[in-house]
Amino acid sequence: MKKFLLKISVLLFGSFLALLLIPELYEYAQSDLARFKTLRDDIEKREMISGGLLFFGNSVVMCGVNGNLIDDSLNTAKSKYSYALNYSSPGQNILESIIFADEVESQNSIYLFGFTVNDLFDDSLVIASSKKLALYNYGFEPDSVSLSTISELYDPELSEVYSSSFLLNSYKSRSIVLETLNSFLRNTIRGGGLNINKAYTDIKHPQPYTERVPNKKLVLLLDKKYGNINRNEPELPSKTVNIMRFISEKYSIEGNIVIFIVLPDHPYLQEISPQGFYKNLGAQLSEISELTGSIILNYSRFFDSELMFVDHTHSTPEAADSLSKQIFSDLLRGVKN
Amino acid sequence: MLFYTLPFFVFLVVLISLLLVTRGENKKKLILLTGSYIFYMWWNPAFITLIILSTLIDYNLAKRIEITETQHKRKILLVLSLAANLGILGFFKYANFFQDNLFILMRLFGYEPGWSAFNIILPVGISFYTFQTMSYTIDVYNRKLKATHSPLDFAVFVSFFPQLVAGPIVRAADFLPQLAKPVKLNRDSSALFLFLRGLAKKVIIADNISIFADAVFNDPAGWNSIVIWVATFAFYIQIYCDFSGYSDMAIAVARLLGFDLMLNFDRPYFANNPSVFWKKWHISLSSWLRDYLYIPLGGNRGSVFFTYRNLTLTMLLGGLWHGASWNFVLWGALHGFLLIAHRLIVYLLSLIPENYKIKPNLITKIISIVTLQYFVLLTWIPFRLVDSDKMLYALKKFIFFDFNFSLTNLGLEAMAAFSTVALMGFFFLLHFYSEIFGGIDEKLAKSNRIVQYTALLIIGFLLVLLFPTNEAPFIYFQF
Repeated sequence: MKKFLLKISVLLFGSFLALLLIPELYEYAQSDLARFKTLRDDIEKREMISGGLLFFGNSVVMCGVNGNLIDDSLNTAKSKYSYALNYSSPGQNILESIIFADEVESQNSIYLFGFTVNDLFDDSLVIASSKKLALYNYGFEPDSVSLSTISELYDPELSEVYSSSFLLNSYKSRSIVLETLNSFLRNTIRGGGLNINKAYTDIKHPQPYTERVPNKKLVLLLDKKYGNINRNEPELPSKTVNIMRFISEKYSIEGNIVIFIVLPDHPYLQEISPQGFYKNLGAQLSEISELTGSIILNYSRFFDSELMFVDHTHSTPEAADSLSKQIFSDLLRGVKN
Repeated sequence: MLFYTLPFFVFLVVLISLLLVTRGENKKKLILLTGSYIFYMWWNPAFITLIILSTLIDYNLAKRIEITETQHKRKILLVLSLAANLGILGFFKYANFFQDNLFILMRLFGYEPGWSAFNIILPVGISFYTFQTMSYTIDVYNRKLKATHSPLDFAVFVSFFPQLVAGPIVRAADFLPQLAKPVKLNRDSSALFLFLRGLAKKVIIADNISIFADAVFNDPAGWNSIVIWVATFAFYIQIYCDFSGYSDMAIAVARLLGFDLMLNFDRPYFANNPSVFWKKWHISLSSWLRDYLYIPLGGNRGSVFFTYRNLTLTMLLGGLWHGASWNFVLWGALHGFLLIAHRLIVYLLSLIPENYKIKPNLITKIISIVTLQYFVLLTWIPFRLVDSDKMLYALKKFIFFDFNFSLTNLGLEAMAAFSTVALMGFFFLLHFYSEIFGGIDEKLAKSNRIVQYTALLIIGFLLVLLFPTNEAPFIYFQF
């Protein structure tokens, strides 16, 4: 019996070693979550950001906002703002953006939060479990106000992560192993059309997608991604208004300004949306802007051609330049006003 | 209470501890019986009454069959036993199916059903333990087995927890003699390594692969052939690792308690014809269907037509055993067709003169394995997809390959497609290894202490790292 129990103990010891190792894996794992590490390192390195334009959002922002181009434009215009930082990451929704924004120490800067139109209408936003754990393991920790607001409005499980023990979180974080394997194989097999290193490390324009997908595939993609979209409910949820108000109030300190950007919809989405949808959306955004005292830049119908997109949602490099120029010019006008 | 959850480990430790401190064989069997009932009641306490009912009926009827001299009366008693078992199985497993089809028929002829649909819950493991008790009564009737005079032994046989909910389907002739011997715990490494083999198959391979297979098969429309093929391969591996993993763990737990259960899977994906496949896949069910259905129907003793009829009937009912749904019937029919086609091919080949025959060699073996496995893969599509539109789409894409290899921007990475392919490769490596060199668990159990400890350390390490984050119940629990 003793020998048998000893064998069980060795088995359990192996499991315990794995639990100790898992958090360390995040530092070396080249999964899509590795961008969190790039953001963390950049934020830590800068300590205090002054006069910066900080973009938050998902891969649409990664592709659509060219920080280099905005830097050049800022220099040319001799603006009081001197540089742009693209702090977007894959699938980053507004809740994740808050957690990243909480880490930033800044003054006299502009926080720009990107929303997709679909996100604006989504009142059941959550941060994916794997991302919550990645945020925890990379050392991101929202302050108590953000934590309670996110937990109360959208995602009660977020506070559980920050109150759980190290070993439990370590065990829950085990998916990093297969995610890393998945990403590694994807990047190896896929090759052309995906510049994944840029996505992991570029803090200016981390655009991973450069090649347009063939039309036949695009049809399939659009159907898969947007086939079930229902835009017949034109009212924006009250949660959206509340979270925008919260963000606006929280980060408009130390001379900082908060701006919300509604990201461009693919023409396919524009076509399937009911008539008057965008007009109604614009009117509601104006109301919210007045209600919350925030600036909202609405680019939902900025692109009217499929050729501006490499796929169902990500803009081409040329379209990114066009959008970045527009954002810059709107900012310049808005700030001057 | 799944084999790899904390409640089960606590349950097993308590059970083993009680068996260790208890003196007296009947007391030990009583502990096993109580443990088995608790294990079953963990899902739904009410359904234990069905097991007890089935136990009481078959224990008493078998005893009566044994002492009854008149053949006519013996037959009546057997029919009573079969009617009771099939009645329970039919009501709980097939009533919903019967009702749904009746509704369709009624509406087809313009009648609206005058009653609202009932929804009967399927008791877990009912298909397994009813087949087990039926085989006991039939064996006693055929005088192949003496009826047991110990109600305790019989109750333990019916409800033995390691195999109660998903097999292997144990025969009384194999199990009851083991209860006649003292219950003796087995502490050698073979049970431990076999359990870990099953656990690894289930959690590392089957559950992780299921993410991709489910993502594609939940909505197969629009996917190109290559994705359908990979998903079918994923399900092919998932169902094998899920079910054989459970069987391995069941056999291992039984071995730990001192009991031997029959092998349920024997590397079926190396079978080179349908007949061999069914000798390697779910062996306890296929041998049950052979002994208690195919042979009593006449087997291959009659004309070719009757042999084919018997094969078809056996496989149709085998399909229906899996679930009350037409897709399972179709799956059974396809396997019946494969068995008949194989017999026809063997017959036609036998007509070729000896001088012209190709002697079996490695190449012919590989060709026959690949050909059979193509059809096995194909049959898993109707098994997996209940919805006929989805099934037809997937079958069309599987059979008529579209040569569209474009995989980018389809969101495959979010469906864990690439890690699934890696795990599929890992599975085939292990499957090849065990086909050529034998089971890894057996080798480890026989190796020296240092190798064993190193292996356990690595297994413990990998189990945590690769334990899936999604909950995937055993597929065969639904049958």
